[in-house]
Amino acid sequence: MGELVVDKHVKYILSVEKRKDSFESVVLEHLRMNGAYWGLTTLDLLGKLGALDSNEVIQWIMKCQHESGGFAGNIGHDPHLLYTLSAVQVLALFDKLNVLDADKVANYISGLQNEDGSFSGDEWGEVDTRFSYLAICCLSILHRLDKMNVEKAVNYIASCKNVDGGFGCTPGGESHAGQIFCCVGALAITGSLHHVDKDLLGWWLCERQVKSGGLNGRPEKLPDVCYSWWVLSSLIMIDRVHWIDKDKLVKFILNCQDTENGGISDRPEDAVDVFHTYFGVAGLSLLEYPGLKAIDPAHALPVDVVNRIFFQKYTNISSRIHNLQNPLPTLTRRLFLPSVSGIWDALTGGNNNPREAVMAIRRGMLLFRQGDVLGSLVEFDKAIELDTRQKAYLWQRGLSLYYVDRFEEGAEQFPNRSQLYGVDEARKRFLEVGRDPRPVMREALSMFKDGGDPEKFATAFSNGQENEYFYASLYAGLYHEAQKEPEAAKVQIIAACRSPYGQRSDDYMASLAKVHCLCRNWSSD
Amino acid sequence: MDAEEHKLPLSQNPEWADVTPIPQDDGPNPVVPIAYKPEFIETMDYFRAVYKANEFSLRALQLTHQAILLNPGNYTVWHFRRLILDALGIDLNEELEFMSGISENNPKNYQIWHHRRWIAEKLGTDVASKELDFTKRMLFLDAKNYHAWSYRQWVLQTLGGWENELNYCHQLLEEDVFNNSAWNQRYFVVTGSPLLGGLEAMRESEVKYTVEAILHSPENESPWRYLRGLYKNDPKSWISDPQVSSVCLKVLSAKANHVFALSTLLDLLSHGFQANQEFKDAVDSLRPSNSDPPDSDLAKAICSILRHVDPMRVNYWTWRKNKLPLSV
Repeated sequence: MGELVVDKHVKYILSVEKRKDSFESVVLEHLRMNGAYWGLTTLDLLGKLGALDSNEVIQWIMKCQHESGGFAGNIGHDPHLLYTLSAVQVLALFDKLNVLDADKVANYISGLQNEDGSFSGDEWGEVDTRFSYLAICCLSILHRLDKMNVEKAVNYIASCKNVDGGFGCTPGGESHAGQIFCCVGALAITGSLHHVDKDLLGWWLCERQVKSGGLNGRPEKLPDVCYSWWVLSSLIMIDRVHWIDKDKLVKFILNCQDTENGGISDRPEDAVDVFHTYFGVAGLSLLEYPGLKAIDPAHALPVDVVNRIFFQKYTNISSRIHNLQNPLPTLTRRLFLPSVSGIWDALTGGNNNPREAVMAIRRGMLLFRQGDVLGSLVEFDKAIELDTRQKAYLWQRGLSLYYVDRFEEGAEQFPNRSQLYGVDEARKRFLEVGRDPRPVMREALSMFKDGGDPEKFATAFSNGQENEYFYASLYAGLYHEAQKEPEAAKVQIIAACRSPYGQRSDDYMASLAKVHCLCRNWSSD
Repeated sequence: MDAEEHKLPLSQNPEWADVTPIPQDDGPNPVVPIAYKPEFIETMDYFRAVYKANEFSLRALQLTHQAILLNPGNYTVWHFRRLILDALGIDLNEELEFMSGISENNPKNYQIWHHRRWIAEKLGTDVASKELDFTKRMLFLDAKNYHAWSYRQWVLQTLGGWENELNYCHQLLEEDVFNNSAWNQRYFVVTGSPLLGGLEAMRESEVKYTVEAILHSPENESPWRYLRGLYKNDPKSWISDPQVSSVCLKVLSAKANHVFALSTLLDLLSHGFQANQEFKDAVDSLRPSNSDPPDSDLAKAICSILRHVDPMRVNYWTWRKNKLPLSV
């Protein structure tokens, strides 16, 4: 099948950037700003952004800005939302957003909002949900979402929702994966995903996968690599990406490479271009293909760039990373987005401190999922400092305390625990956490309370539903651990990690099982 | 002035003697003119000159015409052309003629569609049927062209002309029953046309229409979704319409291409549809021979079958199965 020929793609992109005299380059010069975004983001995902002189690029970008604040596709062209977002994104890649007068750009963008909440691409008035996404994404990066009427913008997008759960370019327009990405992305960034019927749309999106493993954009159309981005990122944002066959999609994308000259095309054997090269690599990143940087599905920028934009104040986190022997598991890319909508909730909340507390909790959960238990504790402690009301409810902190062996403190963390219990009791307190009180939970509780046989307990649910199997194995393992039977514990918890639910669900407890293995130095592979 | 007359290079054309062309400023790496397409480079250099000078003249208009023919994606040229058209008060009907000429070779060009919309909006309802004819021609070339459909919807809503639209959808579906865009347009008409009675009034005849399409090709995703859409917000009617449940049964009994029939039956069951023995038997006969012990619950059995016959989406069908309420 082959692999991603990284060096060839880097070479291809650099050659396109440099060869301004090629016919393709001349004919597409009016959208060079988009081309810059596609090429440079791809380079960054491949870890090769340093291969270019950022100063040259930045100078050129600023020459493309107009009086109005908007950016054009190239020097000598008119401004448009399409190029304004790309310009801002490229500046973000280079960590040079500070060269912008953010208010000026924000005014240009907000001036393009119409009465009904929709956005025009420029002064000529074309309306399309693509432009809603461009405006929202750009203002989000600039921390200026308050400059637009978000409620109206969201309502307009919601009016473009179709009966199949998808979205079109305007109300009544056919559902199309590209438009869906724009609408879902815009809703995600503004914390409005409740307008999406995730189950229905998730199904529509996973039906885009055709026999070859590639994705199309509408029923009965041909697959195209660009949908690897639009469909995939949409699925991730609504938390349903496990509904497609990821391996088959990876194979499809890899087959679209030109392994000799570099670059990726829309489908196998076709001619390559920078546009499809970007979408192919970005799609592979979302699929967690090894060696690629993680990309944020909503802002379509590398996760570390987005972190820098939103979490700038807390860059000292890395210095307190817990020193684990095993390499960190790549759990979290597709889980990043819930944090982004959480950010919006936090931003539009009441006064400062509760907002920042919520952000700290979300960061802590992210770090915990990555295996950084100490780092997560730092964030949870911070959250309590910022908003003391959090202390009573922060079960996540309790779990983290367990894994750094601070059992008594952990026990205090769980609801209704007014008394201090001993170490064993504290371990048992674990059970009060996690979702879905089903038969397995009741059994587990009674086993911990009155004693029982964890092996019998696990076996009882071995043919049950997937989440029951997972929870039974996990709690059997924890019970063994409380009984000081580490070998037996290891067998059960590794089984939990390897189970389908443990592999694919977004349940915090699924992450916990993996973190447990990490902390005990057990390999769950 | 006809574009064809323009064979003389601009630099040698006395009409342009007073203009100094401006080469493209591409930042650090300037454009190097190459052997092929010198006409293109020259046209754009002269365009930059008139653009910078804000020259609204006939010769500038002609120049934009040239530039558009050479590179119809250049949005700045289109903008400038509109400014000239406005400034000179050019007859926009002529402009529509010009547009029709270049559209067929550039069917997915955003600038062309937008420019056309700008013109049509100014000309008003007089051009409604002309514009519907135009999109019809474009859809004849590519019946799923997203731009054409978006434009057509705009024409209907802004300029009118709904009379024949449902029939037009039918024509397209006759040619290709798999055309999702035509199904979407049908929904658009049935729910939005001022000449029809609205979704509920149209429902019975539309269900009949759709059932026929389904029986013709049950593996076709679009009519199943359309059928479901006819009952949006009315699940009670959805599960009690005998046409709906019977089309599922028919397709299941035929034993081929039954994935959507199964998922639709699953949807009916989850909304409270009571399946009789016929349904159970039909589903039962679809169970793969090497399968696990049979699920007593019909909905669960359907999910199990779907996991087998639609393996690409095994995770989705597994999730559906897990989501089902515990059997009583």
